[in-house]
Amino acid sequence: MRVKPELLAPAGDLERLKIALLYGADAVYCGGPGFGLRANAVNFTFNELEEGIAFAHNLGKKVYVTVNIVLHNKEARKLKEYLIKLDSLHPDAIIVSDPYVMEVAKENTSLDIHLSTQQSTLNYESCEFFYQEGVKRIVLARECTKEDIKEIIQKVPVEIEVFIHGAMCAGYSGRCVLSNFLTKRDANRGGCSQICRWDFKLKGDGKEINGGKDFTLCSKDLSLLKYLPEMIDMGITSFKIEGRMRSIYYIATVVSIYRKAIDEYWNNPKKYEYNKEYERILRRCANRDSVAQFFNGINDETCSYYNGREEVSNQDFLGQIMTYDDETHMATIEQRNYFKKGDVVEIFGPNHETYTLKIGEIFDENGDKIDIVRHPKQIIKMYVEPQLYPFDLMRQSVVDNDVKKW
Amino acid sequence: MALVTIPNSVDNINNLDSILIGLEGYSINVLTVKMNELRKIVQAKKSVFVSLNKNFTNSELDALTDVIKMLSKLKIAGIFYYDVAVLNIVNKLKIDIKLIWAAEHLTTNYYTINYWHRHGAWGTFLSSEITFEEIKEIVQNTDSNLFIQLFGYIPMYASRRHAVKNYLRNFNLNDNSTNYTISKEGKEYAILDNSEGTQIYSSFILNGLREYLQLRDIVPYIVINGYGLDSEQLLKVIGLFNSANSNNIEKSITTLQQMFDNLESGFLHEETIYQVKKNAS
Repeated sequence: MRVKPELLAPAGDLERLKIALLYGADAVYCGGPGFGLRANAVNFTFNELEEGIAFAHNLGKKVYVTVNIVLHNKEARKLKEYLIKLDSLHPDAIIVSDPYVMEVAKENTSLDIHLSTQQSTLNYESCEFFYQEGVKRIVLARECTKEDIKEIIQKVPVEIEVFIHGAMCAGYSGRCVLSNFLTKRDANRGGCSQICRWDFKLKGDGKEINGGKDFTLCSKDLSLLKYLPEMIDMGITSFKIEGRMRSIYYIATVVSIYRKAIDEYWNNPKKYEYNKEYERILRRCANRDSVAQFFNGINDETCSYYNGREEVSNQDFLGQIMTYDDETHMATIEQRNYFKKGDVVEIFGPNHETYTLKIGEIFDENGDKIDIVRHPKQIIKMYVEPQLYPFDLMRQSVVDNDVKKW
Repeated sequence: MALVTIPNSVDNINNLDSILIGLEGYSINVLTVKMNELRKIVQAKKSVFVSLNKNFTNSELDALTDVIKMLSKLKIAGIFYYDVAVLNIVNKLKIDIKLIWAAEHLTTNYYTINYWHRHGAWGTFLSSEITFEEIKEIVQNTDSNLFIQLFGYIPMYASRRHAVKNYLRNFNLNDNSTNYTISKEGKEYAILDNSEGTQIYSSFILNGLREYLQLRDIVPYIVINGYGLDSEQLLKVIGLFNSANSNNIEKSITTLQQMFDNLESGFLHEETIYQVKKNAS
């Protein structure tokens, strides 16, 4: 039976959880107050998790909570109590890497268990072991090729989750402790300081080797947009987007593009055409090169990234719509980047097509006219004719002229 | 207690009592040999542990199964594994062979060690990222046969990617060096780019000779990693470990310090940080 894959998005906090789900994710994954691999992200309190899970379930969607650190003795002692508390909030699964977490969850809770990519599961023998241990889903290692994925799906009846978009670990997940050694921050307990993005001097037999740019382990990002039809036909259960530390703009953009592409193929596979415009929007949003990485079996210099410190921060995200008055057509907007009267911008959201418009009069919170919106998180009002909704986002004009103009 | 050495070359294997060695195509972070060489080594030695510790893809599993069957017929002391596939294959085939869970940086607590012990792992090679106190606590709470590295460079990175080759190709550089290093902030790290991808070692040599005096009575296997040392150095280090006692410890450490200028105690007495910000709960 053909099963539509789940689109799974990262949620670094409650706001991003709501954005991801409203923009089309079927499920989100997030960290709770402990035991997660993003120890330095904001993460969720138990109260926020409860609110986020209720929000998702009201939409018929799911929340998975990461419990994926590699335990040391002292953390392991606190695990049972934590899992029981999590279970009381009814998340749809926990994502674990340490099998002891799996065992404690099985014995003390009714939580479904997903095996984290941190286990670097690459083959059907490993998948079979964990499936027999009661794991419902396995997040495969990012080193898997399409042939690897196909064979695993054929041989083991476990749900398979695959990363489709976002940053990549340069090494095998779990097998890199550069962060521990170079910065004393524990990579496998959520403290990764991304040494793979540092520049190094390379020497061969004691002599410096210089290609014009410093040596780095950094890889390009992953994007499998082009391969979605093939991946859907393979029977992958869940398509995962990386990036719990990413902005709401990134989450909204990436989720909405993948939502459209999946639905377009699913609803009419024979007439599906790859949309290059989607690719362009994704590339601009991430502001980093992306390739298919190991999916096509390619593992050469085209997957490496040597421009790490030359990235210019993307200023596309201009503001978030807070409220919209149906009678006056006045939108209240929170600023995220500089914009001014006369700029041509776009407003996109989960409830309507993308609008392109020229900014007219702008008013500050006191109702005074202003020409420029330059202060971070400044609240302004402006007239927008078409209906807008909270959580709509405003960006610089990035799409071609095939959208409706106002 | 047994001192297990990761040899630096096949030439000095005859001088070592107990070794941990790899097979070409199946191992990383150890000296690797071909199966026929391994057979000869096993025949000549008392104790040979074999490391099958790379991450395996589907296409390698049939060959891996054959290798495990072959190893089960040799009198090896045990198989070190990282990938759970090794354990699954051994369990399915019901092969009587000692397995040592050697998932490098993941072997950090006795609860998980006991989990793998219950699932067929006879021993565990402890992570180098845990403290002396954590090691002692693990010893007190497990029946798993423990291995811990107390001397040598420490593997800290493994990737399927070819980081050095990719750099050279990307910038059209012709270089045929034998040994590569990368450096940052005055520290230099050995980087290996081979058929299994890329591996990187610590900038320092772990020296746990002082801790050895306490651990040798409670940890059954102490590992000395010969990677990056020459044969003379390796044999001298093994000699110092074998003869260490409370009377000569200071002198032995001084001898090591005279031999190497980059000795450190790693994480034995220094915990890693992993949470900079505190969450409100």
